[in-house]
Amino acid sequence: MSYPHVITKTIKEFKLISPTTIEEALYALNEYKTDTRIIAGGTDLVPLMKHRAVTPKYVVSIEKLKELDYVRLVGDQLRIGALTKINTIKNSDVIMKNCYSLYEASLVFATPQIRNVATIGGNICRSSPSADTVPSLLVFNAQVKLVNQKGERIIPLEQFFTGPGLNVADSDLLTEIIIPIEKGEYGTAFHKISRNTSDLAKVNCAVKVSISHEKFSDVKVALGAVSDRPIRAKNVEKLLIDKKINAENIEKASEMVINDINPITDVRSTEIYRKEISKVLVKRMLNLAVERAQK
Amino acid sequence: MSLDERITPEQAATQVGTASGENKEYSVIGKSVGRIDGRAKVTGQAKYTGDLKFPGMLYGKILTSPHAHARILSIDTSEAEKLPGVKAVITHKDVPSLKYGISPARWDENIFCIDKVLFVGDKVAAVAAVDEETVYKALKLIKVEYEVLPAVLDPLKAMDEGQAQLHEDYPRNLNTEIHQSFGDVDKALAEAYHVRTDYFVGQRAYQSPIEPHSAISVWEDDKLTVYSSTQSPHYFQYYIARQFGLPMGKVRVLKTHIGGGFGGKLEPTGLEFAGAVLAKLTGRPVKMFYDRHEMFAHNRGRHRQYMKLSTGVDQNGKILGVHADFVMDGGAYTSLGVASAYYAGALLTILYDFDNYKFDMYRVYTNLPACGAQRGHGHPQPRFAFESHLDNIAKDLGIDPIELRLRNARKANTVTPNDFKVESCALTEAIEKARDISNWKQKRSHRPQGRGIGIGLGAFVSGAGYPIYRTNLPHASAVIKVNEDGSSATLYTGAVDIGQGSDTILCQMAAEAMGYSFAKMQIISADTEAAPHDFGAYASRQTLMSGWAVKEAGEEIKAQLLNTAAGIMGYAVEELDCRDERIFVKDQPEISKSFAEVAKEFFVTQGPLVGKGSYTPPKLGGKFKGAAVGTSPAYSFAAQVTEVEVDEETGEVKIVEAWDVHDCGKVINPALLHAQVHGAFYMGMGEAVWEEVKFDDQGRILNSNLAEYRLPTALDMPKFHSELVDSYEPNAPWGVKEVGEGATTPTMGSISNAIFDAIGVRISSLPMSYEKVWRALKEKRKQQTT
Repeated sequence: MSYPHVITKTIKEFKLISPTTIEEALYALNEYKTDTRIIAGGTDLVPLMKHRAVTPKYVVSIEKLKELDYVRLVGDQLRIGALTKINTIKNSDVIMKNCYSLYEASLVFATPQIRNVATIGGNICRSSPSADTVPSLLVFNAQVKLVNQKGERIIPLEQFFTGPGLNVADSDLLTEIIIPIEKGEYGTAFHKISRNTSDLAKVNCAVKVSISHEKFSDVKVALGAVSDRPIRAKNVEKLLIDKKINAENIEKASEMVINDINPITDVRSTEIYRKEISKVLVKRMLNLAVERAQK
Repeated sequence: MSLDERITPEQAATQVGTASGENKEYSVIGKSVGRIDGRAKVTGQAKYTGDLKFPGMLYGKILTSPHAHARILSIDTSEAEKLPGVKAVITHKDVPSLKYGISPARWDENIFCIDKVLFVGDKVAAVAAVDEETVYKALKLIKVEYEVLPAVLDPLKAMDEGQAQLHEDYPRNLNTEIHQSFGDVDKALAEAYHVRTDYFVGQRAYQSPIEPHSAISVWEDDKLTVYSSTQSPHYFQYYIARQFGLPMGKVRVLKTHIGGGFGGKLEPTGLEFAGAVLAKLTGRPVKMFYDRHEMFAHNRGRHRQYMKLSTGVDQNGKILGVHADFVMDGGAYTSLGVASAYYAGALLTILYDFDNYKFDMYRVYTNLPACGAQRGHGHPQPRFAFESHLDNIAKDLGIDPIELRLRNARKANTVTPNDFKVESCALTEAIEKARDISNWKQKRSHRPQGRGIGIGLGAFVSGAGYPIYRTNLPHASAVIKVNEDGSSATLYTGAVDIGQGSDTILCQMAAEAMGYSFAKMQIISADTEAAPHDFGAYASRQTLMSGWAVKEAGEEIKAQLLNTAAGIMGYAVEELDCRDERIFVKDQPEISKSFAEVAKEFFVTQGPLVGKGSYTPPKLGGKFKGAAVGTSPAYSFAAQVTEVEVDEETGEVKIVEAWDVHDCGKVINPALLHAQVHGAFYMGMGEAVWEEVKFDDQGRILNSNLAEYRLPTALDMPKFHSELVDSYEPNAPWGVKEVGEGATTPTMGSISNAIFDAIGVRISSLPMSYEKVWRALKEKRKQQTT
């Protein structure tokens, strides 16, 4: 948020549209296009509007689209409706069982008050580089369903983000997150380092490993707050796949994360500290995920 | 009230209760009664200044400077004035040009800047309009032309030749210069077995009360009423009256409920002055308010201090002499900074007994928000520095830090080199208890990797010996009026409850002194018209000072009541007493009458049953320049042990557990006392590890909001133990002392020493952030490998 030396303490006038069906919502999004913002929980959008970092003419509230609030296991897919609250994720046995790192992210996501209001779809669509739910979704190869008046498309979440606060959604409504669940042995872990509790991340990191014959059969590492968008650490992943699971390999691969990230210095952290703790975080999450996979 | 009327410590020893505060001698004090304002606050019924509305009320805001240092070339308000809904726009031309400031030592502020703006956020103009939206629009329409000047942002360079000057009257940006010397420090250091010099740096911190500042100004004829979120209606009244040339009797200042102050609401802001003018011009009530960013910009928070300490000790670690050489970043104005500067050095003598002391201080102006008094006023950063310094010395000498402190700890009935008289002092007992309950010896000798345990001591005044401006007014006064049927009594006091609970404990004190019950007490406080004078909530003064006045008022009620009862009951006054609403014969308690019955009889026969009291401290302190700052009738003492866990790879600091042992005299309300200690630790912990107001290279605040200024939350609180030691202060009503500020003074030192114990490296600047710890560890590893 920029320094408010320009006096912008009140929300600019806007028109609120409250569709009761997805069709109505898509109609509104198509009609008003770029002047429109979607509001779900509003925990990010309202402060942004107060500071006039965004000044939409139309705000489409999807609050009434209750059909988008669900967590379901469908075949080998975990499907989460965009309007699912972070607190619902925190309390979901299905998520805890299948997607432990996402559960871990929900535990440290902002404050209990915000978790009761904020939605997972909102966290993704805000497209903050530090979004706490995103690294876990990235390591699961999650996909998102985007719907507009012309139809729907499903794209990998990794391709959704285009920059800080930016994404590919145009007059689309993100309706669902689809997480493929594998059968084999895997372990996941998430952690964030922040200044103190309830803070945005200096760095956050999720890891998912699959193990076969004491080797890494698959490794996925994702980090937040260290690039212009949440990213996968593919250099780290490449170095580990098919390698023996041992401390040396993990240590060596973790060091490589600096080739995947491009952090900045801001009020929350310095570039150098972000780089250094990224290595530590990747190493720790790899170890933890391995430990969990082996259980 | 004279000193000899007070009971002696020997007498008190039989009266004072246990540390838990339970005592059969007393019926009302020493008990954790619920807050008198608790129900109103938790149900949302309590109204704060910002909640109040008056018919026809306008909304006002202040336009502030976008530059750290600039000359004002012109101000054009014409477009703003034309905007529909705008009722008045004012600049320096519309207000008195008389300089003001809370401290008469340096009046250096104007209501609005006249020639220059001195920091980003300096006040330039104000608008009143029919609603908030219009106010913001109007502010944008005010055109101010500036000539930007070079700014002074680095306090260590502010005194250099060639730097920009903020105030003409203060060359080299030198706001306050202090040189005090007691005994012979040079000789003490020359003869010492070991001399150590350390350098520490503090940070700018902000009080961050949950309630933003606001003020509503209302004129009726020539009388001004200001509802304000204030710690001191008195000082507001005094300075508002002075600024507008009004008799104090024509200015009424009052508050409703207050959501915290911590020193930041002690002095009038532009809100009261601008609001009064806007209300006068428009003939309508005007509500002025700060948002969170404006609170940070108005500031008056903790000074950043640069602290060099040199101490000489003998072989056993006995302190022989101390030299404190400090620089303080004052920001653009004085605020309470002259006192802050004196406090920084004055209270360094209070905890440890040594004879030779030298204190040099330069408080400099910078083009940053003005600093003032924040919980612990000037003392917490030097205390952090000294406690850290002392642990460095302990390590040099191979002495346990607690042992070193015990060898130097101040004792009761001693005098500091700078002439502070300390009567009650249970510091040794507090240190020993903190050591024992924290299991210090075990933890110190068997510490797991990354764990550390440290101690810090603290102390504070129980009220300042002298008021902020020179006056012979009593420091506190109180009136109690019993309802005509005796069914309730109302305490009228100028004391200010800003959340710490003074309304509650003063009512407990009143009921105790009267022989009445707390449940039937009511209070009207902090209203310059309805209640008698009191200086307000600062310098941890109210329990002791306002308490004296309340006790005296309560005792006057009781005396009048017993006199009436004696007539009715046919006993001599001396044979009677009153407790728990019953007047009884001391030898035959079954012979009694109710308080209410006798109170009614009093009213019928003699008119209103009223008691009054006041308190002026005795003359305190020495004769040297600045001798008044740090004087007090009594000092609190505290020992705090903190255990931390440091992540050696990331530098993350987790505060695991903490033990606070306080010597705060007799406790009136144990629950409120422990709540104060918890809050004080929370605040000290925040400043120790996370909190820092940051600026860009243009002097603009980077984190003037609660997302980026990292106050800790309940989730960051460690397991916390608040304990007491028995103590009785002869200069105080019932033996009380302060707790509100003293409890925050040991925390930064104890955390610093715990981190030192955990990692073996000293973090010498605040906050001791994860990154600083990480860098220190990296440096340590580098040195170990080379």
